[in-house]
Amino acid sequence: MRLGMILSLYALKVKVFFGAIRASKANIILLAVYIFSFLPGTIGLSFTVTSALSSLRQGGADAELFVDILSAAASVIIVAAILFSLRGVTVFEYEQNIVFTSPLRPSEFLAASLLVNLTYLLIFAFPLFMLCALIVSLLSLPPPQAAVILISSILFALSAILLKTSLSLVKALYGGVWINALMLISAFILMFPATSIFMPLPIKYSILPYPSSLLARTLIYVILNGIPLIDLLGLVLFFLASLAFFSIMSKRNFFPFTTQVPLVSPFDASARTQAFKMESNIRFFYRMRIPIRLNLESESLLSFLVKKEVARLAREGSLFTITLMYAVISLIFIAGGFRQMDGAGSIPSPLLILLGTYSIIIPVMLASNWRILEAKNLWLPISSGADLRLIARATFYGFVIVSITIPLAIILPVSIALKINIIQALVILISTSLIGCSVNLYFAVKFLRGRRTGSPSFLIGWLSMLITSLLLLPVYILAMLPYIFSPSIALDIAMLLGSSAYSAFITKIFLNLINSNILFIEV
Amino acid sequence: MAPVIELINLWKSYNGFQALRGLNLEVNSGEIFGLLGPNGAGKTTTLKIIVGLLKMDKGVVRIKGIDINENPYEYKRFIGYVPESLSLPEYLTLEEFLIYSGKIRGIPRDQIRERMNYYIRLFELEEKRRALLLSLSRGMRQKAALTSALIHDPEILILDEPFIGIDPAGQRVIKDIFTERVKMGGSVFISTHLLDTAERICDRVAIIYRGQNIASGNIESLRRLSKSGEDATLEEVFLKLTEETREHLSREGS
Repeated sequence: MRLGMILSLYALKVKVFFGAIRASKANIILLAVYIFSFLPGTIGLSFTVTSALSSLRQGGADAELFVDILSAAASVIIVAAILFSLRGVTVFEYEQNIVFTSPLRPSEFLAASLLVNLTYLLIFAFPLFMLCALIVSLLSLPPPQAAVILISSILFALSAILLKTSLSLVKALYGGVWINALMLISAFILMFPATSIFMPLPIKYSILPYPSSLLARTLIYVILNGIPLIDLLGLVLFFLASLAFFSIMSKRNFFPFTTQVPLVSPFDASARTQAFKMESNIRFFYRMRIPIRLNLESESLLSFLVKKEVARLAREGSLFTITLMYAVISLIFIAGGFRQMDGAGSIPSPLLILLGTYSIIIPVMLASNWRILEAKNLWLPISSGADLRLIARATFYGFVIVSITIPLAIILPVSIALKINIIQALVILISTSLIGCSVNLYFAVKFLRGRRTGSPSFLIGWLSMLITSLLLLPVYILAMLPYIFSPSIALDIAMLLGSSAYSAFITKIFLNLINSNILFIEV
Repeated sequence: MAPVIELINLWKSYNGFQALRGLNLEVNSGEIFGLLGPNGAGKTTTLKIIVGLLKMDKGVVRIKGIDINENPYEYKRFIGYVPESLSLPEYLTLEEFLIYSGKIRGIPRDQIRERMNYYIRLFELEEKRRALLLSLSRGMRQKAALTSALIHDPEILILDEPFIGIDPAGQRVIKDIFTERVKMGGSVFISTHLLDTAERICDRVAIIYRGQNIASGNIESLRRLSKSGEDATLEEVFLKLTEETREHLSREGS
């Protein structure tokens, strides 16, 4: 293997994956904001986990149960590796066209891919590393024990990556029904003992020699000040076996057996790739004959443009995604046994918490799709002399219509059936829709005006979601009033009026900002 | 003939790249005018500035005497534009797209219906009327975009590479449309790489190089300017002029 070749390919793959993030320094700041926004949640979680582990150390909890739960979680990683390898070896268009036509050897390509996977792991699992470091420090573990935790976790992660790559090669080279069956059976065998957590079964992770059990036992017994030599040795053997499997498989020429997939990267800002992904959506949803058709009979230009916007959202699948999301929220709420909790009690109804949390995502998704897929079509209204402010207003109205009517149609019947305060649900839905859509559309326009077409859409979405959340704080405080004072109709009306006035005020500000920015967009 | 498009000392840069450097140009009424130049010469930038998709750094653009900096909307009723990188709202059907194009230009519905039906028949797109734009071939999409540019019966057509992806029969229809519009006193301003096509259909051309107009006129005047023979093709003239300019600029640079 030629190290220079591997490093060159590694650099290329990383550059392609992170692509647009290198376009400006602002993107680096946005990425830092994204990573550090996990900090509060991670710190909170670390206290909860540490408290549970402290109780375990003091003999107040069942160590076997901890091993079983941790093993189940680790098994999910191995099972995910197996299931992902069912797709065979997937590569991007540029890899097939440029990399595979160069004199590069398959093993060099795989080595570079492994390095790339490790890089992604370091970046995206950063909050997890932070969580582990916090737990280790809160438990005041001595350095040798902390080192064992670190080494065993790394060995396990490396083994999972090697296993995934090797199994993908097996699937690509010898793929057949029996390979699929074998992988699915293995996945089932690996996950089956997880049922012992919920019901009494003799087969438990804690008594099995699974790689996930080895990791769980190592971690738990190190925390309990034990020396899990056999388990640690087992983990090393698992790693060596995965490595041997990988080195055998990597010698095969798999280039002709790869499957091309569209480039999927959270940093991908390429409209072409996004459009490629959206094409199948449009074909599918148009065939569903959603009864929204544009015709010459529309009354005014604004109503025509709003209708066009709603048609777009229906045909590209946003309407379906929103419906699905709220249906899932309702199902979680109903099936989760939350109905016993009364919304008018001392704590907020879980439905309201779910609404408040997830409703913010809808405007982000709508504005992000508009920025990537629709903004490039602005050449037509601009060159036609149409008022772009009217286009922006129609877009905003389309967003608001979709983000209010669908949740209302799903959530309201649930609220009424379960006797949850409808006014509170209304306050949250209307405010998140008005504030969220105006803020997200403003950021989409602002980034277009600055010609920052390379800015990754998920980072822009993250920033606008952060601002939306901050601006929604007063609304959430208002929605909590019935839990502070006695619920009454007068309080409900005051809450609705207060939140509506505040949301309208914020929306007005952002619509004005959109109007003053959209005229300067260059396409 | 009075110029319908006037570009005076036009400058534009983006991301540190100087796309236009004092470009001067005139397009008259009743002519097909071709904008020629190598890659990166500034052809698309010029067209985009004229139709308002890009803001100029410096200079004056007048469309039928209207200064587009002073009145950035009024002049657009005179123009119909088709871009080179054809981005269309894929989620609309052909008919919906044309209705949208007419509506945003404030065209009465009867006129939209009449012109839409006329061009759909002319371009033989009848079967695709209710098909998503997504499902149309490159050539059909180009015809759809051209119909959208013609829906308000503009005096000036501005087209960036209008023949790319169009079959010979479709090209003939488009050329006929150009000729007909010019006969009626309209103007067609096209940017193209197809020099043989430009030679056949354009009354006058301008060759731009690194954001400057290095030669403009009809083919005979360009032959004289480049000191080419009487039977020299536009391609030979073009290559000679751009090469001479390149050498001249590199001498100046050194």
